[in-house]
Amino acid sequence: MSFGSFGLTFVFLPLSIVGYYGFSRVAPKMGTVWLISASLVFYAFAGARGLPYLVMSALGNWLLGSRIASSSARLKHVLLWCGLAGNISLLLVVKYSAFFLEVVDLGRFAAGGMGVPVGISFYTLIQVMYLVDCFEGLATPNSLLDHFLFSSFFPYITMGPLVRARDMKELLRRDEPAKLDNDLAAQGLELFVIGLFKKAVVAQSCAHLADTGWGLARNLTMVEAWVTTLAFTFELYFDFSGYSDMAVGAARFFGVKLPLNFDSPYKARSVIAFWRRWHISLSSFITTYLYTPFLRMRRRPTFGWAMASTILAMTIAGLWHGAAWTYVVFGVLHGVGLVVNNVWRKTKWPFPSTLGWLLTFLFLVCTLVLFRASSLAVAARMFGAMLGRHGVSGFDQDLFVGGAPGALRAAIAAAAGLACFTFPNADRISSAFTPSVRRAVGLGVLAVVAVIFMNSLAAKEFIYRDF
Amino acid sequence: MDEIITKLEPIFRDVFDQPALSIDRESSARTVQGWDSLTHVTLVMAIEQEFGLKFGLGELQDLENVGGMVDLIRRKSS
Repeated sequence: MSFGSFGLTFVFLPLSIVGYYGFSRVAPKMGTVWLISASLVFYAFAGARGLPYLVMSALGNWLLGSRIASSSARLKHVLLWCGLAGNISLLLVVKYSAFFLEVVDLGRFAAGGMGVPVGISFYTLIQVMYLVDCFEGLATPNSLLDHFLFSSFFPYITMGPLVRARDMKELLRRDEPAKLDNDLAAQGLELFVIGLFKKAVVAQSCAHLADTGWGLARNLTMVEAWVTTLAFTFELYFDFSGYSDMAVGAARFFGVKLPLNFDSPYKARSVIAFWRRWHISLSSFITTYLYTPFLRMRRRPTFGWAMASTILAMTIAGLWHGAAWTYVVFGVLHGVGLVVNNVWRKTKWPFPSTLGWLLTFLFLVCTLVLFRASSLAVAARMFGAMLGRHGVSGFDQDLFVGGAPGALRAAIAAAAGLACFTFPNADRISSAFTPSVRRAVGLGVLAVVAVIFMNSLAAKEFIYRDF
Repeated sequence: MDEIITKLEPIFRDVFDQPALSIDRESSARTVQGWDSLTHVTLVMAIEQEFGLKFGLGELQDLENVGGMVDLIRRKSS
């Protein structure tokens, strides 16, 4: 049961909402307990074996947050550093130990695994922000009950967006019954339907093309390689932004406005602009909690120091996505891309904006090959194919497109590609929400088409779920 | 003009190396040339020194324009 499934859309989400407002009327704390229970059930469906880690992380950080807020200045520092070390160690041991043992040629000592607990990369960063907020006096420590809700709230627990305690203020410290905010709920419904459509219709259609190309044992022609990589570029955006729209939409039913995670990133005209528009809650975390502390190590940071910090921060961000060299190289390349962009800006030479958009988009398509490839060797093979190493023309239409359903999926993927560059993003659409018959009909059509696609396709898991 | 903005203006001119730069509450990365992540941190550090304050990491996310800076400086100074 994940976002985009029948179970979540038609059973879990409505039950959670009704239960929350119902129990909250009896006693506000009962509403909180209901939401925690619902969130833990959701998490258990995503990966029950990760539950002990989630509970341990929530409990440990609740204890630390409370102690940090009430301690002397010196002890605060010690506790904060212990907390940061504890969180990062947990992530390193659980997610990266096998990778680092391989790097130093000690892979034989890696424990055979239960796999990486779902969402650990996300909730660890959320807890880090909570501890820093408690340390800086920007958050009042949560009660144990509130902290479990903050740590497990189902819209963001598996794949973000990364939230701070203040983003959840509507749900925390409630001492009066929750009341449904109709406007926010209507916006939530709109966002949820748009997200569902993006995932079930668009991302799945793009995935068919991308998976066909990536799954082929034979070498691809140049045309096939570009169709494959372009399809993945669009799949990733619609998959993750579709999830984010549903998560942000679901949270609004509970009165919570989660931070914006996407702002039409493929319209970006530079790599700098791209990172201001893509996975915004992660970019914001990287800038605030990695890049800025690096810069502040110097009394007056120089341009060279800032560029070195950029590459280091982006390399860590790349590795955050997964324990593999492909992600490390992805991060390094984006760090280098940002440096080149910054150096060019410094020269103040003009640059045609259309060319800027084209170069940025091509850079993304190429670097996302590393995001999708299972190894550097596989990525190198795809790059070779994109450069025409195995022939330029030739496209196996039967394989990539097939019959009428395949043609429909290919048409949807192509239209979606164009929509990335032209349509306003979902958040802007929902921010301008005003009830009208036209809007209701449009939304109804999207919902019906999404349900038809959900019914006819085997749903593919979200790409970011594995991070 | 707000007295905090009056004190901020020379800092902005120095950091952005623009002797004629004038700022108001709406000034931001969109309107001030050269306002990027490096100059933002340099600016924050210079403001901290000038006003004898220390901004928390979590507070930096809110400093999107001069108005946000003025409000935060006032809040932390009171």
